[in-house]
Amino acid sequence: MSNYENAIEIKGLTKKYDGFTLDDITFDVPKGSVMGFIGQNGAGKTTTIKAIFNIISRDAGTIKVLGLDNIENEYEIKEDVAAVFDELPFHEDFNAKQISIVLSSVFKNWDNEKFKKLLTRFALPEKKKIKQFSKGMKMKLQIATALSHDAKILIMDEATTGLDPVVRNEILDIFREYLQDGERSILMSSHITSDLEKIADCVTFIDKGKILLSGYKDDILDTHGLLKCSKADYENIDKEDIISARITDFGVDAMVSDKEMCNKKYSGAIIDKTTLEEIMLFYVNRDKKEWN
Amino acid sequence: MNEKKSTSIKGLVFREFFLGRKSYASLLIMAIVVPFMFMLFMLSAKFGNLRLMEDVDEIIETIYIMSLYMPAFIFSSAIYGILDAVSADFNTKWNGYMFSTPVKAEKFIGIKFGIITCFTIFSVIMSILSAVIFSSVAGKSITSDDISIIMCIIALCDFAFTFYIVLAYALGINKATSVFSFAVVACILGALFSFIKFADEHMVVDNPFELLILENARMIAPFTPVIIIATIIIGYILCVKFSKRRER
Repeated sequence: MSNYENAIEIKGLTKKYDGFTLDDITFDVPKGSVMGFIGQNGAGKTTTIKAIFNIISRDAGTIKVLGLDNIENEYEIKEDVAAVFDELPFHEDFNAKQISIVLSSVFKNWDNEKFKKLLTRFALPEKKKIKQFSKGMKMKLQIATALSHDAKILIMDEATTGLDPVVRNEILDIFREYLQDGERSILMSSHITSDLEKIADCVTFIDKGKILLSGYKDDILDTHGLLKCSKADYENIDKEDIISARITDFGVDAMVSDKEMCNKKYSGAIIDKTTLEEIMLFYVNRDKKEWN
Repeated sequence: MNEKKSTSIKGLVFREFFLGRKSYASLLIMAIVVPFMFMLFMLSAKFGNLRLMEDVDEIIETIYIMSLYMPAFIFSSAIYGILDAVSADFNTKWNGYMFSTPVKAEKFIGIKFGIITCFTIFSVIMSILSAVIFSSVAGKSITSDDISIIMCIIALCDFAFTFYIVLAYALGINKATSVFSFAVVACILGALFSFIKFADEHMVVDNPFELLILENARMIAPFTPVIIIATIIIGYILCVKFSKRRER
């Protein structure tokens, strides 16, 4: 594979359905980073991921994975990409040992010893049928299979949904180890923003098929803020300066995207730090402008 | 980049057999139990209680005919194990997952049809061998008509199972089941209508049903190898085409 700066490059991706359009999606996943792909249900996260894997045809745009075109070099790329979906794709009568036998025929770099070590680390039994596994165990098994063929990119689609915080934390620790060499990358789609705040380096927001924000997580969190004021003071705020505002009986919370500018312009106002979840919430309601 | 070795197909072949294991186990039991039952009936008809019945000769003849042709149905149904695997592919998220792997559709589908080919060859050999053994035990000779009927049974089973697999990849497993069931009912009604029409035309014949089957088998038998090969090749091509279909 050629030298590449970005593990994934998506430019102008467009896909039209009846009632929904993935519109001009453009973002990059830098090599060695974790990209959190955030959006509410139906925003277009899974459709974008399907386009990366060439599961769906696209109407426009280009996608490069590890520096190669995802259609022209489809099978070459897929040797180095691991997918983790929300459900285990194996029949429930299989056990981990049998899954290893199957996957040794799927991936050239399948490493059975590494897989066994991961099973031991995750405390997963080798000979127990997966129908007897809990949801957390199934997800850990999926991750073990994803990490056992020396993949350069891990693409996860809502993989941590439904898992308890202990298991989610365990999984995040595994990802930190996975990224240590600086050559591997993760694209993680989720609406559980707290996980992404812990691990993501970059974040891309998608809503109704459009990219709202894409950039380094810390930059986004530094530039955005929650302006808190009374309803009377809110009247004096230029609506162009805010993304949207939540009006309650106690006052107004308004999301700003340029905290520094707003601090200078509205010197008496309190602008608190914000979270990815709040940013998502306020951006999703941007069309309404004011909501409660 | 790591130097990559090539993959064997062992794991994917294992997967196909593992998912169809219940069907294969049933087949194995039937392949043992059914001939054994025929043997018992035959023994009883020749030496036991059944020989005391008035129409014992007819019973022996019926058992003999069933023992000739039933193995063809049993061995052909080995392909049903592949249907179990196809069904599992759709009911788990395996088909979607395969899109994220470097396994080409030609390889994945090719393994299924390779197994179908092997089972078909196995069915032909075992069915003819069974017919030879049963006819020897009955003190009779196997005829070309017997071979014709056996080949037609295998070709029919091959076609039916392959048709279902193609439908599954074309329409999804649930719609495939509905369409296939409709097609089977239509074929049965068509066959029934043909038989009634044939029986009307050949009213003086003692056993019009047997004559109808024989006439059709004689007509089709020379083409059964071509039918079987064409079924497998066309089935493979269509399944690859449908499985590569991208969501539009």
